[in-house]
Amino acid sequence: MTLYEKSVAGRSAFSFGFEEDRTAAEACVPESARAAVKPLPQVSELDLVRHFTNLATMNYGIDTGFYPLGSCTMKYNPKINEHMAADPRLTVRHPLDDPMDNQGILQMEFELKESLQEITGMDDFTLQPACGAHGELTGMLIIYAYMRDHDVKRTRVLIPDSAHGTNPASASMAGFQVVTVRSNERGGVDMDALDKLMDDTVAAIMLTNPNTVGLFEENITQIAELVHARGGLLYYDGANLNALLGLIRPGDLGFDVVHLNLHKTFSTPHGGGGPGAAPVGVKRFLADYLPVPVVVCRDGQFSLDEKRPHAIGRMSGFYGNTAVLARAYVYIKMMGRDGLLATSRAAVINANYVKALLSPYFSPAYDRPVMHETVLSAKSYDKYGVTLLDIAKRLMDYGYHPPTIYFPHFPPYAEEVMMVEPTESESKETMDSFCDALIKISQEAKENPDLLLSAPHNTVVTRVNETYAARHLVTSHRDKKGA
Amino acid sequence: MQNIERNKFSFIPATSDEQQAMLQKIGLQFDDIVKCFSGNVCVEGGLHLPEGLTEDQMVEEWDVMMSRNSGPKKASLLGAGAYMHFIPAIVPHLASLPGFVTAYTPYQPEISQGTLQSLFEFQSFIVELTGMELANCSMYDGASSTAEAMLMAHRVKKANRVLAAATVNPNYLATVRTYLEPHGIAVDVVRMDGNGQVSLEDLESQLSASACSAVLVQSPNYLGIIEDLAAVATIVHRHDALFVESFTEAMALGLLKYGIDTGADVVTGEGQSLGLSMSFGGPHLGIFATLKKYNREFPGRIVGESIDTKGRQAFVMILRAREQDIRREKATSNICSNHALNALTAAVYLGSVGESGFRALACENVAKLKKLVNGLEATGHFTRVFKQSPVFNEAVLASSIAPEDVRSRLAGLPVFPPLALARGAAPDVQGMLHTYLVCATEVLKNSVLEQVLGALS
Repeated sequence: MTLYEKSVAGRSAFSFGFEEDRTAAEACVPESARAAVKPLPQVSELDLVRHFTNLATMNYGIDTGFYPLGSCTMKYNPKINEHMAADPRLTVRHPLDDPMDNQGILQMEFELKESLQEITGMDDFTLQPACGAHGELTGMLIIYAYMRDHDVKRTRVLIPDSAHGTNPASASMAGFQVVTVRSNERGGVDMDALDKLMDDTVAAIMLTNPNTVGLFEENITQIAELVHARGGLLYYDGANLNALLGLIRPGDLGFDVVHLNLHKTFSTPHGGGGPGAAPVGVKRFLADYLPVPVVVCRDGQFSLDEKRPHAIGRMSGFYGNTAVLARAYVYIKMMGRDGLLATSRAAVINANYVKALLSPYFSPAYDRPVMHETVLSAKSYDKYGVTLLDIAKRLMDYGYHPPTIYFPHFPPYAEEVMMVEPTESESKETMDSFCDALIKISQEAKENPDLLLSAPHNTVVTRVNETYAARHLVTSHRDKKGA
Repeated sequence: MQNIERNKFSFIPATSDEQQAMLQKIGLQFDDIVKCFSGNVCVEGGLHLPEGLTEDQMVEEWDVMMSRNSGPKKASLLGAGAYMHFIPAIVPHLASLPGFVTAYTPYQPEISQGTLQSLFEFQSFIVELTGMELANCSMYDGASSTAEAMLMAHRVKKANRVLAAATVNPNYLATVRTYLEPHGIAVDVVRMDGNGQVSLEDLESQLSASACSAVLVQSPNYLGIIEDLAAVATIVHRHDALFVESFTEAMALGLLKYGIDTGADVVTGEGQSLGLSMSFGGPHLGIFATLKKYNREFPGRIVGESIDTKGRQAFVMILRAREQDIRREKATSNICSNHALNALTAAVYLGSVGESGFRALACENVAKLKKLVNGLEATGHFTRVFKQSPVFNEAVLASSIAPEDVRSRLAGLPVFPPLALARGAAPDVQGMLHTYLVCATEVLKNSVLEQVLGALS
């Protein structure tokens, strides 16, 4: 039941000491512009508390249990981060207030920028982008602006077939034509294909490294040399940086632009679909193109630099998701140099451990050690009439969030693959139990496939009818009233 | 590879022994796994970052840093896109329940009903407040949402030109330009008239000059003035463009007409006022609402009501074929993660203030601004510009007092000083060299308001 359905006329959850005359205020607005009172629910405070508290229990989160969603890096969100981000000295600050009155916040942002520069090997950063795809768009607009100034005929962008959908969508939104590069049999970029495609109309190649099958791009040096030699730039999608902290840096590998997902690698919560934050780092020669404003430090004073004539413009109304940046700042400060290295080391060991335990039952996409995540196939269960989706749904009955399923899409792994990313947050016993559950399910698939086909059984709702939803298109309470 | 004592990192559970056991099962040493790096420059001797802090050290450092901000505030005369409002205690309390905070995007509906239903409720409220047929479950912020609306209009109408009122928030306009530039879409500005509203005359002549995909008007506009949206819509539709109505102050939704009633094709805006703190600029909440006929064209995610295999009410993300993970470069937008938790927060807020509370708050804002403006005019140092035009909770005032003087007079008070506008933003007033955009909301209690007037007298 929704809040509208629980509404009782006359109830209220609001307690506020109004001081002004409401009727006089209504009259200040011309009648033509004034709306009738708009329907909102009328509930008591306890109605509201129970409503949302119950809804929160109908959700699976990291705090509930293991969340091995490949490529999403669902690591633990430290509670100290939340505590800091709720500090009124940060939350009750107006973005247009004088920078001199906000030196603490600007210092935090500047130090975060410096840390990210060191972690990635880049020269400058904008903290403005709100989420991964927003970071990609920012980075690609920077490349677009650079090429507009230097080599206008470069209107195409190369993207491997293994990339997230956001890469081609962002490149296209930044005004580029997208060209897909196929992967080789080892899961990396096919060098011959790249050689053929990399001509003087190509502005850049977008790469995720480790890529979406969890493999480090072995030919990255050759790719960087080839692309740079022919006048193109390299874009790094930082979705999988969690594998590389303190080990190897995208800037040293030859990348010119990077975006980072602070809500993945740097522990800020995902919130059921954001808000995140995705700072974008660039090499020196692109720094002038960063969107305004940029946090700078002069003579120990922090300020926001708006006067940047080459800037691509503005990506949002203000300066980015400050309260999310604060969480990542706290995380990096607490992990420190050795902690970040330990993070990636543990993430990589955990992924290979899960791969070792599950390989006999779900064949790995590639017979190579992986980095932070592993792609496994459920194709062999086809013969029992069971799909990967059924296996994923059955995992819920065992109390786990399923891995990412049916991704990546590229051949030969276009079907029935799951991507498991345990992250460094999980203990050996959690991974052992999870793998036991998957192995049990693989037995069930043979012996009692109906158990999987009708799964999940123990959740608040069973499988949701997407066809029904698409046909009825009820996207608001008003649609229901109309129905 | 360096040997690390892992036990001191509280966010990493594995002990050295456990990692050894795992590596044994894997059949490799860690160095074997990272052999794939060979031929590349690796980090030698560790990153140049300090050692990690313990939690107590972190709290101490944070405290020192945050005390470099100025003192606590009770109200704000500064608006211009971010607004200080009262946030009931249950709003952050409920919105920070770990079931909501630590979940991913609800791809698996059976274990994500909490997020899905909350977003459906958010969509339902936004449909009512914007007067539209369909709302998505959030964009990043008002500016980027507005830019996406202009891109959508271009997909629908195809003309490589859009118009934006000169009275639109300059940061919104800059964001629109940034998004549109690579597509070769010209952004032309429609002049402001003598009342601080978009000039209908200039709008008519610009639309007659050549085809446009969209016209963007903000109300209340950047100068706080309520625009005549219905009059704008009549002209826009005569020229076959889409009308994008925008707002930066969601509190105005409580009192003003938007949407179908005023001829909108898209309504976009900033939802920060709906229970979210200003947090020095973010994360805020992008609102995007449109007509059902554009349900294959709009950007962002949307939740629909459905049933499960037992016929029970259940929610699921729908109309997914527009999205980047399916359509890749042909998607309606690249947006993936949005500001879902902030949408949920707004839903809790609207449930909390309720139908009568939201209207009453909107009225309190109007009344507080009126009282502040009257009080400032009574000092003799301020006079309202565009006196005849209706306003909501912001207004432009000319003054004989310089910005640095205003700041220093207000320095001892718990209020953010008003925004000083650049010369030329509003018509000159004889003897009053300076112009301010002044905001008042329900948190400007009479006691503080009197202190403000005292300081500026």
